[in-house]
Amino acid sequence: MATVKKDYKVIGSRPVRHDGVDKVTGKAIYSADFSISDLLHGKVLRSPIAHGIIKKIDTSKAEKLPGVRAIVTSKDFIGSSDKNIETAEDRNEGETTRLKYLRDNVLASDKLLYIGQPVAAVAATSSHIAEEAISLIELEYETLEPVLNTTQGLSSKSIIHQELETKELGTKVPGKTNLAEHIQHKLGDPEEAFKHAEIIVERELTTETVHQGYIEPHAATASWSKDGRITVWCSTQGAFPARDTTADILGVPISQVKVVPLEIGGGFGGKIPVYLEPVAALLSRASGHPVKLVMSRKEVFECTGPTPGTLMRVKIGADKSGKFIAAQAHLEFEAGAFPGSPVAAGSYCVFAAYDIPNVLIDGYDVIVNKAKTAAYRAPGATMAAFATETVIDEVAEKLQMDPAEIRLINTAKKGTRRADGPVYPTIGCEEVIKTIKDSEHYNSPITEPHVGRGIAIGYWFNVGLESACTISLSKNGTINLVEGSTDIGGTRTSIAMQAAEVLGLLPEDVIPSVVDTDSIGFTSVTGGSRTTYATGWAAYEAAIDVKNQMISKVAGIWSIDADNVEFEDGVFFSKQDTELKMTFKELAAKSGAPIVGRGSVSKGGMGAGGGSFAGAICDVKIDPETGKTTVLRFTCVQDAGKAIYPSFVEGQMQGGSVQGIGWALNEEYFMTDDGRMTNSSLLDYRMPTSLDLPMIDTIIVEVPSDGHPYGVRGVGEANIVSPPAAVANAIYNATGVRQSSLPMNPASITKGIQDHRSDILNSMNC
Amino acid sequence: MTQSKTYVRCTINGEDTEFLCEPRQSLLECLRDVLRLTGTKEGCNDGNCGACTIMLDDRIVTSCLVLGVEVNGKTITTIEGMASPEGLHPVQQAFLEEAALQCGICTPGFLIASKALLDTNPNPTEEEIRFWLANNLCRCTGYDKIVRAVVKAGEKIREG
Amino acid sequence: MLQVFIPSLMRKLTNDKHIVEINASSITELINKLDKEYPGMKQQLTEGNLIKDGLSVVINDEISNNPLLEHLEDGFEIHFVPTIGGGTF
Repeated sequence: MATVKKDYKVIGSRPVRHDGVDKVTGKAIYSADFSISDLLHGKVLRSPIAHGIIKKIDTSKAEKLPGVRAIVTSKDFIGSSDKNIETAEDRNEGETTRLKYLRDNVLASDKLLYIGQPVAAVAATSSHIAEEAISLIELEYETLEPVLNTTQGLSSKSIIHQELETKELGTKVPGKTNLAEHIQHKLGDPEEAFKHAEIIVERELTTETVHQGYIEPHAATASWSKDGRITVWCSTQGAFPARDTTADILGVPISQVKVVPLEIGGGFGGKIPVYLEPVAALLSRASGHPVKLVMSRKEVFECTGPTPGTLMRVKIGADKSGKFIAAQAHLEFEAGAFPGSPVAAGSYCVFAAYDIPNVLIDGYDVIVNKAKTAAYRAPGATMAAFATETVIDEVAEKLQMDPAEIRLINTAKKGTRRADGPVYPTIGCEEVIKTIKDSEHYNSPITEPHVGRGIAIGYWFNVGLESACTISLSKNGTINLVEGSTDIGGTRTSIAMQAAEVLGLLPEDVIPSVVDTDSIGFTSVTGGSRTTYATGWAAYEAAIDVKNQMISKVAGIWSIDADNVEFEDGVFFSKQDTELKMTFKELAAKSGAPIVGRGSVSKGGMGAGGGSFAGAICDVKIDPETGKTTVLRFTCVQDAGKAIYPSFVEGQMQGGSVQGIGWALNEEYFMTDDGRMTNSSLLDYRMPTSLDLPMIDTIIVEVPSDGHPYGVRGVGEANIVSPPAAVANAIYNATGVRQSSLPMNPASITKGIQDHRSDILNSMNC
Repeated sequence: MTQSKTYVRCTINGEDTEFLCEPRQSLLECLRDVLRLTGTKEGCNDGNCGACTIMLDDRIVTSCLVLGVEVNGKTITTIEGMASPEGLHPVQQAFLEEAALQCGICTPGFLIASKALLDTNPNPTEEEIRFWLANNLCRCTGYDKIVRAVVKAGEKIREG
Repeated sequence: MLQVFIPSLMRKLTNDKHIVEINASSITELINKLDKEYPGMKQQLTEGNLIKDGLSVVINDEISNNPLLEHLEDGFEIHFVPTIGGGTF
């Protein structure tokens, strides 16, 4: 492996991204922009209740509506649903998924499990006709008592999946339950250690369901050809996983499906699952036409994503010096209607920033009658950090310690044993905390009343997984780079730059293409902060392959041994004969067998490169009368390992920070007692606007990861983890009232202030 | 069979344009599905995300809240009409240079709204930019680089 | 010697022992030897000679994609952890 060097020519620069002009001129084709000859438009009938049994689906009236060409239900899937399959992501994670769950989430078979669950779908000559037809389908059902949070899920007699048993590290606990999994990590002897703590802080905290909030609704077009080949055009975070899952759900071999990824208008984890793709395919088979399905915003809110509501209890014990000696976490996460909340990830991350010798973590994955949760940027870690980091703030306060100092003396570093067992490789946690502590922002005085400052630290472990790249050398000395990672935020360029650096090219000499699943090797999702890390690594290896082939070629031309050829600054030269020199472009122009390099990597699952730490410093101003929080100043600090494209690293940090601020202050699903979301529009689901925010300052820390040729760490996720806790700690600092629930909206802040009115008046000198 | 579509004539991106639309179709639908101008995006279809922002005569509007039949005789500018044959508009160029887009789905709406601001006020303050763009949601960038790009585009426009 | 970390939910099989030292060059060999010393471990960890559904193997500091193919060396740490899951469909 190449050593990390400092004098890069391309790495660390800020070129114009390759897909940029298309995206600022409206030419880029996103999923809903796609069209094809002979296209029909589809709509989906969705469950009106949160929990029930399907008695009858009568489509006869809808079928008679002029313009309707096909109606499908779950009966149209091929083969039995009663088996476990290994999805593309499962393969990396060592688990399997019940096919019935996958299918029921795209077309319900026997039960209705959440409001918005697809039940039937129509293809018609226009989307308006399809919508009319949907209203003509008669759905008869029996209503059951819904289960809407983890407390209900763990205590209710209303069982959502009769066959479900609790998973406990590979074993199944018999008995009817809504608890899909219990996870436990134990390090040392926390029970004993707590007895020796000078101070113990224990708090119960809750968070509400929030959505990823990508601006592009899901859309998919499918064409089931008469020869059995299925082509799907969609926007997805992973064309290959989407292909595999679509094939699994349909009951056809993966070789029968091709996914063509279109431009993707945001995902944040929410565009890893497939929702529309298999349904569009069934409609295409039934109608004989290509069929396009596009979700409305309401459908996006009700039926996709979200990340779950949680109930957490976190307890930390420290000695007199502030050293954490024991910690305990109890994490209950809503899975949605099928198993698989991010509680496992939350359990890995809850104390990940600290070196604590005695830890007990219990995580509970609880089935509820809400949409199946999907990944959302550092899934599970943000809620967990909200709990841990507010408890730590309280420990620091009680010990009269500086919040950065207490984190620094407890920081995880290389060699720290995590609660789940493994020890860290090189990580940048300590450097992130030090950077916060030494920053101008942290050390600037607070002079105004009702203003407070908070900090918090967050971790996301990052994944490696599988990526493939090929590079073809053109006669004019440019390269065509083919990759399978869908580009959500400029990764074409951050990947291309890693190849350019090897070959001494400019970024614009690399022409990157994101291609369909027939045209490149398997590539895992654009997620887990892995794309610049792992696909960049594959591009690096493909470029090394090109370089080696070019060395062989020039050695042949010069009739010397390839070992005697060096390549530096874009020039091939002989180590022995200084006369023998050829530029990259000159050599590329020489005829001969085409040079095609390939890179193919499998870089492990969780913990790739040690993951990334990030931290936030937040200043807020509270209006004590209305409870309105204004974020006055915000700084995000993150370890990028090595920032390939610093503007994009900053952009990830800023975007994650603002999603975290929205989560902290405004965003939540308002649910009725019968499980209906009442704020399923972008007016009522209040994401931050430009007017709600200050500039988001960024400080990039670079502690190169072990292994990666440039020391990259994925930066997509860790930045969302700390903001809610940092905002909560700032609100406490401003008001003297601890917040224990997200979001911390004006109502909860005024209530807190009123409850502590006399204290507040004193502390604020009003 | 009764006539189900209405004839509409308007100017789009400088071109005299005719199309037929159903009375229930929004201008957004007409642009995207009838005229195949898909640069204008749909994010919510109820006027709250700003992805479908266009210029209708001299006003910025969310095209999902305008009916196609309403634009007879009017002048429309969409993202497809922003660049000139000579090159990108300064605000497009600034978005690229300042990395003001990530996924890019909100970008056409932001560009239309930003250009409208700069056309009336080429030297806006940060507060004015934030206020003006508050009807356009971006979930990727946190707006920081968008604000910077608009400031930079203003500088370029003022320099001529 | 390999250091095998026993997850808390399996420690009833090891008399609450947290770490077991075993000499093995593959995960299969390791599990067989572990089972000999602590009967029942194989059943807990495997199904049909494969690592059980819901379990991941961490070799040193990273989850292994193909644990059964890995060559283990003296001094390695082995952890059995619950799979991350979440967000796959």
